[in-house]
Amino acid sequence: MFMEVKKEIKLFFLSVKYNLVREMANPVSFILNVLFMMLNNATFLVQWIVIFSIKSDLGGYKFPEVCLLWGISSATFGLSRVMSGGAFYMSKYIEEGALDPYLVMPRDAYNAVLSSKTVVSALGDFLYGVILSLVFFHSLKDILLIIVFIIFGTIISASFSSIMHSLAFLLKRSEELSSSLENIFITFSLYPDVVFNDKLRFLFYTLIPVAFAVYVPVSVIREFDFMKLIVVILFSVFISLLARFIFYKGLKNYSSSNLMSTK
Amino acid sequence: MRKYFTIFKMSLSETFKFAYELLFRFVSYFINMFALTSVWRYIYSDGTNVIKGYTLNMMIWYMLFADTLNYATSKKVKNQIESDIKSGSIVYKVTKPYHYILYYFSIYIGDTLVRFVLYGIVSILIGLLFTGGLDINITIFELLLFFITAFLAISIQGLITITISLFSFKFEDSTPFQWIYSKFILIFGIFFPIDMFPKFLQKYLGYSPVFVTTYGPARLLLDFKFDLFVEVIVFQLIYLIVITLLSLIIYKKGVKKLNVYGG
Repeated sequence: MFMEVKKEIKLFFLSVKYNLVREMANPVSFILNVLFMMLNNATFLVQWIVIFSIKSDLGGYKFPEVCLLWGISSATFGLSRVMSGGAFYMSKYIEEGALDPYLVMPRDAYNAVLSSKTVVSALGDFLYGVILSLVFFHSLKDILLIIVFIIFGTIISASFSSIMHSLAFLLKRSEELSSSLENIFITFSLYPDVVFNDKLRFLFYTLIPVAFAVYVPVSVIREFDFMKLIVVILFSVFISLLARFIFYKGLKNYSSSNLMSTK
Repeated sequence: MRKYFTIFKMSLSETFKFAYELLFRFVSYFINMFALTSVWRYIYSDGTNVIKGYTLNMMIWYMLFADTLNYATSKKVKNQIESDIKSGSIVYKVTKPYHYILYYFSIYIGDTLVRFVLYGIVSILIGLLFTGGLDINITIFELLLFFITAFLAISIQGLITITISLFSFKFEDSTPFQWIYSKFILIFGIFFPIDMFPKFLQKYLGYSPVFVTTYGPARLLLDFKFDLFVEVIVFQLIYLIVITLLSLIIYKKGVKKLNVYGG
C-alpha cells in the first residue's frame, strides 16, 4: 500500500515535470506567458488602491490583508493548474470520449487525468501569489503558514474543479456550465468575505468551499488558531476523497469515442 | 462589400445556433457583477450617498453598461487568428478573394451583435434586480445616438483585438498581450468610471481606448450630454482610422515574412 502511494506520487510529479518540459519547448512563449500573467494580476492592485482611497477599511480588511487574500487565492489557483491542470479539462475529455488513454495506463486513472495537463500561464499566477502573500506577511511563522495553506488550498481548488467537471458524466455539453461553476469559486475568492451577506457566507463553507481555501487561511495567518488550521487540513482531505469518489462513480456512465492516442 | 455581409450573416446565425451555451456564460457574468456590486454596496453602506458625483445606483448602472460593451465582444476571432498564424494555415486564407482582416472583422461583428443584444438584456435585468429601477432620462433620439457610439465602440474593440492577435506573426503567442489589454480596460474602464481616478490620470485616460470603448458610451447612456457625444464620436473616428491603419501595417509586414519563409 505504502509503495503504491509512493509510486503514484512519483508518477504524478514526473507527469507534471514532463508537461513543463514540453511547454518550455518554446522558451519565448513560455516566459511571455508567465511574466505577462504576473503583470496581468498586478493590474488588480490598482482596483484595491482606488477602493482603499475611497474607504480605508473594509470590515477589518486593509490593503495588506487584501494583498494576502489575493496572494493566497492566486497562488492556490496557479498551483492547482500547474499540478492538476487536467482537472480543468476533465469535462472536455469526457465529452469528447477522450479519457481512454488514461484508463488503460498502469496507474491510477484519476491521478493520470489530473496530471495530464499543465497550464503554463498558471505558473505566473502561482509566483505572483507567493510574492504578494509575502509582501506584508513575512515572519517565519507567516511563511510556514502561507506554504501550508497554499498546498491545502491547491488540493481544495483542484478537487472542487474536478467535481464540477465530473458533471459531464451526467450532462451533455456541460463544459460551459462546469467552467461557470468553477468561476464562481475563483470570483468569490478575490473579495473579502465581509462584503457578502450571511446567507452567501454560509455557502462559502458548504457548496462553494472558498472559505476553506482562502478566507480561513487569511484569518489564521492574521491571528493564529490551531483548530482552524486542522479544519482546513481535514476539509482538503475530505474534498479530495469526494472528488475521487465522484470521478470513479461517474466513470460508469462514460462512453468512449474509440479515440486512442499515446500519452 | 456583399461578400463581407454574407460572412457577417453566417457568423450571426452560427452564434444564434449556440446561443444556449451563452446562457451558461451569463452565470459567470452574473456572479462577477454580483461580487462587484457587493463591494460597492459595502462602501456606500456607511451612509455615503455620493462618491465623486456617483450615487450607488449610478455606479452599478455604469458598471453594467460598460461591462456589456466589453463582455459582449466576441473572443473567438483572436483564437482563430492566432491559430491561423501558429499553424501556418493563414497561407490558404491570404489567397482567398477577400481581405483577411475584413473577413475576421465581419465574423467578429456578427458574433458580437448577438452577444451585445443578449448581454444587454441580462445587464438590464441584473441592474433592475440590484437597484430596483432604471432612473435614466434619455430621449429616443439620444438613445439612437448612444447606439451609434456603442457600435463604434465594439468596432474599435474588435479592431484592437485583431491587431493584438496579429502580434502572433512576431511572438507566436499573442494571448499575454490580450490579457494586459483586457485588464487595462477592466480596471480603468469598467470597475471605475474615469472620474474616480486622480485628476492627472483622468487626463491620460481621456485619450486612451478606455474613453472610446467603455467610459464614453456608458457615461452617455447614464447622463446624455451632446458635448460629450461629439467628443466621443470624434475620438472614436480617430481611433477607428489609426487602429485600422495599424492592423493593415502589421498584417502586411507579417504576410511579407510568410513569403520569405515560403508559407
